[in-house]
Parts: sequence; structure tokens; C-alpha cells
Amino acid sequence: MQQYRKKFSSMGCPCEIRVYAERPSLARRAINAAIAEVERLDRKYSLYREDSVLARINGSAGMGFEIAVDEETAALLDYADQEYKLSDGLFDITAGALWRVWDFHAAGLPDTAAISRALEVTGWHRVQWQRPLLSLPVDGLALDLGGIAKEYAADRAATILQAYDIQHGLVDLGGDLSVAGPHPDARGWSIGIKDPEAPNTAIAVIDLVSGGLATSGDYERCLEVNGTRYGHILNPKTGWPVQGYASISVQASSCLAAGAISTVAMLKGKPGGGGFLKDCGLAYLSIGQNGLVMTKQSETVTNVTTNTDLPSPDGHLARGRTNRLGYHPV
Amino acid sequence: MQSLVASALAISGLGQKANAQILEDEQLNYRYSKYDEDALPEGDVLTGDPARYQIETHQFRLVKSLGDQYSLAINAVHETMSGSSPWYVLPGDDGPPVQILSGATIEDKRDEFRGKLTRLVENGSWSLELGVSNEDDYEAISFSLGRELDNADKSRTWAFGGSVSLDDLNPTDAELFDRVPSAEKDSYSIYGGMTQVINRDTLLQVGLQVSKHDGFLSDPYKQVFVDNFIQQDSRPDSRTQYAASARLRYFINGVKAALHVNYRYYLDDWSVEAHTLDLSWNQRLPSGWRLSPSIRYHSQESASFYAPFFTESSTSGFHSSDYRLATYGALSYRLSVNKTVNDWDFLISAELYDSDESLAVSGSRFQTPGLVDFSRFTAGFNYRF
Repeated sequence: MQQYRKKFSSMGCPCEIRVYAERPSLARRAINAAIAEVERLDRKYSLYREDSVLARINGSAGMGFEIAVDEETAALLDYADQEYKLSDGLFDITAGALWRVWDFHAAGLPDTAAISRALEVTGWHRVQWQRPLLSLPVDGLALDLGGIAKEYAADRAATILQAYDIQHGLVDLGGDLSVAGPHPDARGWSIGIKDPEAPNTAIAVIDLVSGGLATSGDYERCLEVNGTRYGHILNPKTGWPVQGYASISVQASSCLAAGAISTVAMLKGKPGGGGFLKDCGLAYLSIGQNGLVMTKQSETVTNVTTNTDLPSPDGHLARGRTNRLGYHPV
Repeated sequence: MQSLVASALAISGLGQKANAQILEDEQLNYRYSKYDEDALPEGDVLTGDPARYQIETHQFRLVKSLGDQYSLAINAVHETMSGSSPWYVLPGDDGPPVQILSGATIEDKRDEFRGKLTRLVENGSWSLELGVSNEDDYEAISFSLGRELDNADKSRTWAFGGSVSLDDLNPTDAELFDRVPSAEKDSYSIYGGMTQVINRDTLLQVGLQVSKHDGFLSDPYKQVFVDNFIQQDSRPDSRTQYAASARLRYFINGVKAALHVNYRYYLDDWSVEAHTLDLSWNQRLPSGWRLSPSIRYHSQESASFYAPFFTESSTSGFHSSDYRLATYGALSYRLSVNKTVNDWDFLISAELYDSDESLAVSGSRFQTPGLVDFSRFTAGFNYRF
């Protein structure tokens, strides 16, 4: 069996799919079907397309009527609801308005009045969700599925590969990874986690045998004011950037779950995030803003080696909205 | 936390074995095949050229997906047949009967087209097939409908279907040889089957088929010696056939081989009863080569109105000395060689077939001249795109 790879662009980031197959035509069919699925989800949940499902939902804010959403959207909303409750309201898919207030290209911090106004139209508790009916009663309230759509798409793409009988494959959507199966010799996929201080080197290499890997990173887009660094991951309750971690990578049985946990841990910051990661029982790698690296391994994540002498990878830098780290597959 | 992780898995379907239905690989196949019947032993033939039938076949198959849900498979066959064919059998001067072969060499062409449309549905597929076949003296049109049903984890597939074929026969030289000038035959058939994945290495398929034929079922080109007269081959105008089959596929991963065992039991209301057992060994070799030797044994009991020749009229009024309705056994040996290069798969195979009345399981009362021995050579390719 040979390895086949295809790079493409979707969900605002560089993506790649790698599979092992008996014949090029099998690889081609499976990869094309997986890419079609990612593009379908990109179109469906894009904030920037007028015809997307999300645009339709957000366009109804404050209008006083309900929208009946489809099965897939309903499942994702239920999932976001579950995450919201589990994270005590930290994981919130309505944080779009808050995002617009913080302009990370500006020289200074936004004024507190603007932040307060944005907070009034933020909050999942303000959304009326009774499956399958969704209502956004407050004008300005907007859903942003960027926090889960990409991880979900990675898992869906890996599922499609499996449906095409691919038993060895990897989906990479700008650093969000989902595994269809390990290398044919049962080796895991080697993933290098970027060092926030030196983005061209890997601070650790993770062998991924199954499931998904997601990384929340906070160092690539930030504001530095008076010596204090303000990251772009915002606490939806206070309106201010969180402090504590530069990046957290989590491995779970799916990329969606991994992304949820890494995001919540980032949002909890220090010290709550550390305890949360430990309680989850999953494998993770966290890099504090102070440079401290903590890891926990598991059977499906083996050989986490932290090594600052690794050769400079030729991997790409991912620029997703919530700043996923790039990686360098070995 | 566990519930969050679990529901994440459930939403995307990751790790749950394929529930999606897949269309057949898009591909183009070509096969060339040459069939040569062995000449009969000279002593068995009274008149006619002992060299027998030769058939050359060109076959094409194209499979194309139409979107995500439909697949179209088109089959085209072009066949040329030449040679002499058994006409009737005479009692020999001193004992064994002798075969009279048709004098003139027959040359005939046959063209066939079939189109099959398959539609994927949630738990399986539907398929619809239309076919036409054309030769100088024979035209047939056929229609069939099929349904495949998978269970939830695709470990078992049920298959059902039915088909109808309407045939028109216009024998050549009808007046000259006192053959029926034109005739019809209608065939109906239904089948049911099941494929079961027993474990990772074993697959079993069982099936049952029932067919009914109505109309002109005799062979207009054959005659029978009945009580010192030559008569036309005459068979009943209806025939009901039953066939039950079982196929086993056993994969031996350690040596990269697969064993195929096929068995078929056949019975019809003309009293023909047959067993066919087919064994093949498919061996994968390095560099994309594959070698498959196989052997098939067929044993058949004759139709109630068959005899090489008749010393008196039968009570039923039906008579045939067509060797295909006789009691006989046959052994065939085949060897196939495959080579796969990327999306191309090349194949060459040879088959040797030997039939004899003594090979039948029950042993035959008659000596049956005219039983066929043949060799067949096939070459072709499959291209997947």
C-alpha cells in the first residue's frame, strides 16, 4: 500500500488529507469525497457567506421568530449547549459581538463601555434553543460556530474516509486533526507541536494512533500594551482576554471533543485549566505563558517527547480564527 | 465529561464502521476469449467435418457513477461462431452410436448490449437492467429488477430479483431442412440470496433461483433418430428449473491467499439433475501478481426424453439426442494469472474441459457421442478511474 496526499484550502486555513490505499483510484475517490464534505460544512457554517445556514440564523436576531434547523445543525447546537453547561458558561458560541470589539491590529485597548455593550448581546443563555427550533430574541446576538465547525469537519472527513474503506489515514484542517487509522504498520502519525517562542521548531512530537487532536493557541494574534500581552481568546463573561496558557493540545476519541476540551481549558486559564485537564483524564500537552510545559500521555498518544533540538519543520502556520497551532507531520 | 466525549463521537460517526453506501468502482473492462472444441474422434463421426465449434468473443464493460447515488454499467458483447455442430446420432454399424455433424460450416455473429442502472438507498440498493441480444436467427430482449438489502453493520446482505426474457427464433434454412420457420420463447426467473460475513476471514453466500420457460424449447437445428426415421428434436413447450447454490470465500492472510468453494445443485421438470463443484485457490504474489488455479467438476443426469437414438417412439412424444441433455460428467481445469499496476489489472487465463459419460456420478447407460471437450483462452484488462 502506498501513501497518497492532497493539500487543499478550506475553512480559512491550509488543509491536507493523507491516506494509504491499494490503488490511486481508491485514494482519489476517498480523498475527493472527504474534501467535498469539508467544503460542504465550510459553506454551511461560514460566517462570511450570505447563503450559509449561519447567516440565515444570525439574520433573524431580534426579529421575533423561530428558525427550524436541520438535524446536523441541531446536533451541533445540542453539543454546544452541553459544552456551555459543562464549562460553567465559558464555552459560548455567541461570542461574536465581543470579538468585533477587540481589534488586534489597533494600538490600544478598547474602552470598557464598548465591552459592556458587547456583553449585552453575548451569552448562550440569551438564546432560545428547543430542538429543532432556534430563536435569537436580541438584535445583535450572533452565533459563531468557528469553535466547533472545523473540528467537526475534521471528524466528518475522517468518517468519510473510513466509509470508503480507508483504514489508514489522517485529516488535517489547519492543525485540527482526525485520524481514520494509523500507518499500515500500526505506527501512529507523528505530530509536532509548535513552540510558541520559536514557531519554526517543534516543542514536542506526539504519535497519534487514533481519534483526534486539537490545539488552542493564544500567541499568534495578540495585543501588547504596557508590557502586558493580551491574547485573543476572550472570556464571554468578563469580555477580557484570558491569561495563563500560550497553547493547549488535547487528544480525544474525536477532534470535536478534543477541541471542546482544549478550548475550555484555555478559557479557564491558570490555575483552573490545569485541574480541568487532569480531571478529564485525556492526553494533553499544555504550554504556559511562562513557558512551563505539562503533559499527560495515554495509549493512543505515545512518545510525547519534548525536545528543543528537533530540526526546523517545513510545516505551515495555521491562521484559524481561534488560532490553531500548525504542525509538522514526520 | 465522558458524555461530552461520547456525544462528539456519535455526531460525526467517527469510528463507527461505514454506514455509507458505496457505488461500484468506475472502471472499463475488456475481455477477449477464444473457445475451441476438440475434434471428435474420427471413429465417432460418420459424416461431417469432425472439427467442431470455435467461438471468438470480445466483451466490454463500462461502469460509471452518475452523482453520488447512481451507477450505470454497460455491457457489450460481440461474438463470432463458426464450425460444425452435432445434428443427430445414428446407431453405429457394430455397436457404439455415431454422430452426424452438420455438413456446412456454420458462421454466425452475435451482438449483445445490456445496461444496468443501480440506485443506492439507505439500506442497500435497487437495480434495473435492460438487455438486447441479436444474431442471424435469434433475437432476445430482457428486463430485470433487483434489490439488495444490508443489515445495520453490513455483515449480511440480502439480494432479491426477477427477470423476464422474450426471445424470437427464426431458424436459417427453415424450409430447406423442414425446421420450424419462426418461434417464440418466454422466460421468467426469480432469485433470492444472502451473503453473510461470518468473520474477518470468511464469507458465505447462498442462493436459490427458479426459472420458467414457455414456448419453443426444442433445438431447431437438431434431429433425432427414432425407429429408423430421422425426426426433428422435440421437447416439451415448458420447462421449470430450480437451482440452489452456496459459495464460500475463505481468506488465509498468513499466506496471502483465498480459497473459493462453490457448489450448485440443479433440478428441472425434464428430469435433468446436476451437481457442480468448483474449487479455486487465489494466491497473491509480490509485485502485484496473482495466480489462481481452479478445478470444476460437473455431473448431470439426463432428461427423461434423452437418448442418443431411439429404437421406438417414446410414450411422451418427446425426443432429443442433444448431448447437453445427456447423462455425463465433466472436469475442467483452469489457470489464471493477474498483474496489477496502479489502476490497471491485466489478466490471462486458460481452461481445459473434458466431458465423458463415464465421469457422471451415477454412471451412464448410454454411450454418448458428441460430448464436448474444449479449451478456452482468455485475455483482458480492467482499468479503474
